[in-house]
Amino acid sequence: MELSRINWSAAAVELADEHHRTKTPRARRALAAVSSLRGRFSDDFTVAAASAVRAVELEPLDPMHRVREALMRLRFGDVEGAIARLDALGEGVSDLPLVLVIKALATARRGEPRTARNIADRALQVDAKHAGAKFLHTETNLAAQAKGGLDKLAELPKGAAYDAAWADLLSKLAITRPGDTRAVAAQLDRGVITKGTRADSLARTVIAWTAASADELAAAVAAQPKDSRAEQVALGLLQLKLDDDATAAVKILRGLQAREPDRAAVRRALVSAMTRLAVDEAASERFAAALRAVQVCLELEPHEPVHHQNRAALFTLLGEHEASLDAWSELDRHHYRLALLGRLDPVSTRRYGAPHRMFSQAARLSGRTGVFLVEETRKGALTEKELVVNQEAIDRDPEQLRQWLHHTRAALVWGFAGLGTQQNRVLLAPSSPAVAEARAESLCALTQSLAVLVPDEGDRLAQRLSARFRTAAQGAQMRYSTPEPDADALAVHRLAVETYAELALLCIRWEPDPNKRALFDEVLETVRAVSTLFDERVLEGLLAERRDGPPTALGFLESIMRVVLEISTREVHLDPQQRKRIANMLTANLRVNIVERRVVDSQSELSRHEIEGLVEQLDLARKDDPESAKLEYWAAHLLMVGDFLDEAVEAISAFHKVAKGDHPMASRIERIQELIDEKRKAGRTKQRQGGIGGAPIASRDDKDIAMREQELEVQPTSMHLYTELCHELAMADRWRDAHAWAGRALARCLTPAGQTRARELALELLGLEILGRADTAAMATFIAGARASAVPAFDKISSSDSEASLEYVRGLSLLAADRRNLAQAAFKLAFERCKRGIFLAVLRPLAQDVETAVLEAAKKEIDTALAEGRLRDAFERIAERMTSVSRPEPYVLELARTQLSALLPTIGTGDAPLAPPPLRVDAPWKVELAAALGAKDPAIRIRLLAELAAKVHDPSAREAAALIRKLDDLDEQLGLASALEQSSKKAAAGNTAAALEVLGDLGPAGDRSARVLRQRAILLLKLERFDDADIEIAKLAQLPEPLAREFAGRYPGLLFRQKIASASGHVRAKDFAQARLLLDACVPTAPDQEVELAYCRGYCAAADGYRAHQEGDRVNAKRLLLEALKHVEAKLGEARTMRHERLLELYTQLEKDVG
Amino acid sequence: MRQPTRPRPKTRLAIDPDNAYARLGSSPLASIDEIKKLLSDKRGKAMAARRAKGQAAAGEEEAEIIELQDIEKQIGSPIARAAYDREHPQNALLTVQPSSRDKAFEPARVASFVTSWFVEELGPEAMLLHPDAYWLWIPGGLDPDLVAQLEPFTSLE
Repeated sequence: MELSRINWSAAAVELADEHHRTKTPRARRALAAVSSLRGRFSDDFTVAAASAVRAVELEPLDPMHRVREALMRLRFGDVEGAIARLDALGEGVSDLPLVLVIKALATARRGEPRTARNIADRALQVDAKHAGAKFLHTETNLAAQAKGGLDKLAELPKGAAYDAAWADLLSKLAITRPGDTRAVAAQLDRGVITKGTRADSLARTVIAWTAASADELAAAVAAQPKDSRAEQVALGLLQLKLDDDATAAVKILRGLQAREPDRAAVRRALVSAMTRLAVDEAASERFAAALRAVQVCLELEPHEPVHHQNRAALFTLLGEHEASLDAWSELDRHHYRLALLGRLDPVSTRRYGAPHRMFSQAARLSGRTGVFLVEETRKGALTEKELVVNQEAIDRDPEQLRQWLHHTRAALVWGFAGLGTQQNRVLLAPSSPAVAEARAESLCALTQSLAVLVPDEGDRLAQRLSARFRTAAQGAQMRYSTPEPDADALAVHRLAVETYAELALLCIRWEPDPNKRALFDEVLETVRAVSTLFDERVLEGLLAERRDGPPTALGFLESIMRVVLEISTREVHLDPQQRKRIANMLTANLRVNIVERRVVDSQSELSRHEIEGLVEQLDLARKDDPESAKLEYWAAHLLMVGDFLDEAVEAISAFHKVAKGDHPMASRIERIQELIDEKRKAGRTKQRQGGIGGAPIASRDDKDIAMREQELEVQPTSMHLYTELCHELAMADRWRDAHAWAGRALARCLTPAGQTRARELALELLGLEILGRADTAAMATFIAGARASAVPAFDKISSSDSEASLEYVRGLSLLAADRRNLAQAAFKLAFERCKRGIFLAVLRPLAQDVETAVLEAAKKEIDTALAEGRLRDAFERIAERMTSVSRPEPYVLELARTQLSALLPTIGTGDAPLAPPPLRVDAPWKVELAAALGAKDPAIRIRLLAELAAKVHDPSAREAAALIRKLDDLDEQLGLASALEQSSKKAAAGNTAAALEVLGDLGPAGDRSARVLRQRAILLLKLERFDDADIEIAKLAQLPEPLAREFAGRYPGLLFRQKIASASGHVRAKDFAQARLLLDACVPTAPDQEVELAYCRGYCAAADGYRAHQEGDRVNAKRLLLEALKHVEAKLGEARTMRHERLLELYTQLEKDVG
Repeated sequence: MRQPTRPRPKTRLAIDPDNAYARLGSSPLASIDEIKKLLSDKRGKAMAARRAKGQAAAGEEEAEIIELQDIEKQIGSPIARAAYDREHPQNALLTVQPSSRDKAFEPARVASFVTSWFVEELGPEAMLLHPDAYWLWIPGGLDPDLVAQLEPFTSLE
């Protein structure tokens, strides 16, 4: 019976039916046999695998079905699966010769001929006559050794039954051992294969091909049927023939492909040869030639990822930075496309993640340009290494941090995607449904980096992977014990914890640039996403493993965990809330850091608008971490600077509540308290709209009254909330409640500003209730902010016997409509009719002079316009007011203030700042105003306007003086910038002394500028005035700026190098005494510097010794050379480790000469 | 809101010259057997040099042996090497390399194609070392009872 002619599918269906019907052992046996044999005849792996499993299920005691399952896997190339199934066979079965032969065959296919030979040997020990085992043993034995062993061929059986095995063996030998071709041919001649048979002819063909020339083989390829095995063998032999000469291979295969363009196997062979050529060229560092070869491969096989990868690698090796970035991006895109097509197996995901990991590593630590830096500190004889944030590098190139961030996130995503879809693996055995959901959402957040790195494909992939992660989270249950993770899951978890540790370091030590807000947000979001993947046990394992390795941030994270959660026990088990607390502390600290940097950079010269924005940032941070003393310090500082003194006091009080023991900021907070007291004496206090701890951002959108009431219970002094709540209650016609809340505001808001605002609100509500009874729409319009729109409604209400509160609201409407005289009259009437003392304080100033209210309103408008950069609007508003009010004096200061705002952005750009429009003011000081406005220099214009403001309007005097001070500071800064520029130019021209001279006379301003001090120190080092440079550094170290700290930290290294350079110069000039003096004064700060110093000392002594020798002073020469030897010998071990070739050479030379 | 773009830092990507493969003088694509052999050869030479110098042996040989131990710890076993490569993917990524499909042109693979070709030419009944060969699937031949049961499913063509 010809088995290949059996319809195995039909047989399986029919026999299954029979088995189902009869349930007889015969039917079951037959069905099992057909099912397992189907694996031999099916070309569909899924069908074959399912049939094999079915056979084992039907007849579990028949080992042949399991053996056939292994054979089926081997047919489809699953070598590992085949071996695993054979290994799982029970005792007594696994030692059967057939099983051992199949195992040996699988092992040989895995590329392990020695092991395969040993297995075949075991088979022969069981059955010495097993022909298959004999042939396999001989084949693997000969494959395992390069030469000899052909005598074993004599032991193999001969005869027609073995012709095929002989033909196969001899053909393979001719291919794998080309040196034995003659011996192999001799075997053929001896007639080991029956002559004239097909087997004989095939063996002779292969052996002839192995001896053929490349051109003959190319002709042989063309002669074989397309896509046949024979074509494959001939092509393979052609490639082997040209193995040593990739260029020739490419030439011949190109010719062949030109003649046979439809042969896919030829194209494949050509690409393989081109790749080999690229590998050879790259190995010889001819990267451009290699790139040309790879480009051809890409054209022929655009679907093959390795060509994209080779292209990117070559651009990188060529140093084509921009092109390499594009090429790596293309590789990622190609990987993502494969993933979108469903290729998401562990091997593929590992491959997709590898470039991301590479970029992440490159950005993390790369000399002085990485996001992090290894800092070495000497403590006695020990040198401690620590991972620190490289602030300077991040400031210089923020893209480096973004690279680390997004590629680390992408590497994490691919790591998790490679873990499959099983909840325990992909979500790291979550302890509860909430943890599962949080982790899934975190992973979804991380996938957003795929869209950043590869637009379009990354976006679609992010959606698909997010759906996968969310599905994995479904059906999670409470877990009371954690299963041991497998190696892959643990590796991904470790990466997540290491990333979290480094993010923690960033959150605490990095000072984000306030102008790079997007970067700050990206870091913040990553911290939140990675925080749910943190596990203290994984951290513990990593700490134990990495203790002796290069420095990491793991210890830093452990310290934070212990300090924040106040843990002192050795064993740590955290709950989700504790983990969240750590994350909240980190995000809060990062927010405080960005505020701190803005304040320090601005030297506290912040607009009111900006101060409020920064305080809002601190409010957000406080929600994350209500116990941060550092946060309260900066809140107090900012609120004090902005004159929000009540709130500043509250922040100080909060500081004292949370600061434990002798807090390092305690003395600074005391200083703030003193400044607040001084400001209070001077009567400077304001009220911020949201109040401290307020949540204006969250509450603005919240229109639910009950919610607002709850918020007020939490923030009982927020006038902003009272006003909104009362207005909403009024709109809901709940006047009794509205008045009650206004009454509570009066009782609770006890600061002067708060009290005034509360009284205004109470009075306004009374008036609005009356207005609402007459015209509900007008009342609603007023509340909505369009106060002027209520004027027509008031026109219909008589004022002859109206209430004071109604007249107050009428006055507010008229003021909004800019009908100042009528407004003044309404306020007067309200004041006269007012019977409640608490409202008199509100009405009196308005009744006396409405222009105060007009000025306040105008100031608000100007502030808003300046904050939004609408300078022209601000100037026009001032001009309009100055020409229409009766007392324009207060507006002169506003002019000066606006002009300064216009000047600041133009500094250094060469652009002229916007000037005020022409003004016609009828006042006694109009000539002085015209003179001030006529000043051509904007700085002089501001100064003259400020002086005029102080002269004509006493209340403006203080602010005018502050403005002039600011202008002086600005002049000073501009002077410093100019001096630094000149100095840099002179230094670049090589005139160091002149460069220093330019910076010599800058007064106290120069001593306060980190940049000037740094420049002076560098120039003094160049001039070898080391003591003077030390003095400048001592001044620099006192300054708080990051630049100062960073440079002061780097200075010892610079000093060392400069001294070494100077000493070398003296040695070259044979001024050995001076060189020795300098070298004695050198203080190394790192082990490599110690070696360098030893070398220089040795070199100096040796040079001196050779000089003495030349002069005939042999005694001194010997003494000096021995001294040199002593210096270098002391550091010989370190020099070998560090590969300090110069010291090693000197040592060899000295040993020779001294000997 | 504008979608953030792929980061493009100024710092160039560069291979670390002190990576374990470079220190050993091996390709990151070398097999574990090749690496083990290279390590063993180098260690043997260093030990021989140390023995030859005896008491006078300087730290050079010691340092080389220590370095080889360090390299072995990093890439000397499949597990350690996998972990090292996961940490330092740039070594392999920045090496121009053939594709996995190019292995089809290695001698052992070409030889295995010969067997497949012979199975096609000589039939699965021939005694060949190939998973398609019948002698592996039905070593004692088919059970006559099963042959009878399969008879109706045999096509005449």
